[in-house]
Amino acid sequence: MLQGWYEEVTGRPYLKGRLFLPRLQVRQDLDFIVDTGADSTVLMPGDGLSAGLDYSMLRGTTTSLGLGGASESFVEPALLAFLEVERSLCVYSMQLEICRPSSEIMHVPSLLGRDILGRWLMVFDPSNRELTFTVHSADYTL
Amino acid sequence: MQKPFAKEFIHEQVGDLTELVREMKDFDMSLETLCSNYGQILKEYPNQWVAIHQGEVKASAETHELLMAEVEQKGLPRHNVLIRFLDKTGRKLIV
Repeated sequence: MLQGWYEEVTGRPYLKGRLFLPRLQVRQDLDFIVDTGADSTVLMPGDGLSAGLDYSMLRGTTTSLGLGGASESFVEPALLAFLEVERSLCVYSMQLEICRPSSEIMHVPSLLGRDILGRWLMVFDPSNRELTFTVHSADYTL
Repeated sequence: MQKPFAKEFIHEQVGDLTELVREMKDFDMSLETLCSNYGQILKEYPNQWVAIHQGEVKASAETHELLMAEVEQKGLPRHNVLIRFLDKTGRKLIV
């Protein structure tokens, strides 16, 4: 089981994970906002820059649709690891969407989307402060 | 569909599992600190970027660039520090 947190005041749901971008030798712990409306997991500029990501090294691109309209993002092979309360590490292999740096979205947290959430059972119960995830499947378990 | 990485490659990326577990628990402590005390931390650092490590605010700055310079200067492990902007405007986040 994975344990998430609700942010006091805003009530936003967060879950930690560790991101690996093997080609770029990036590893970074991140606090993702849980977003069942997002088709895929997205690394936002604030987190990318915090991780020391060199955006000039990114190659693949894709087009996504969001509140600001259509936008082009980078795509990079990635691993995302989550630590279960029981200390198992669940690892997911993915094509991570990486938003281009822009001052307007610097404060927006990275999104944990349905490419990962779809493989879990989520208990979203803010009134009881419960935010847990039961892992149904992972690409690798260590 | 992306071709999965080989298991040996995953082990190589993850490195020492004991160390990884320790760091991820530290990061979870930082996330819990921020989430459980968001109102107080926001009051202390309004419209600031903050760096939280091992459950404590270790640095703050007006810009992300200045904060990362301070993280570097203080020798904090960049990969294990929670970085967040504390927005005092109360704007809604719709993603």
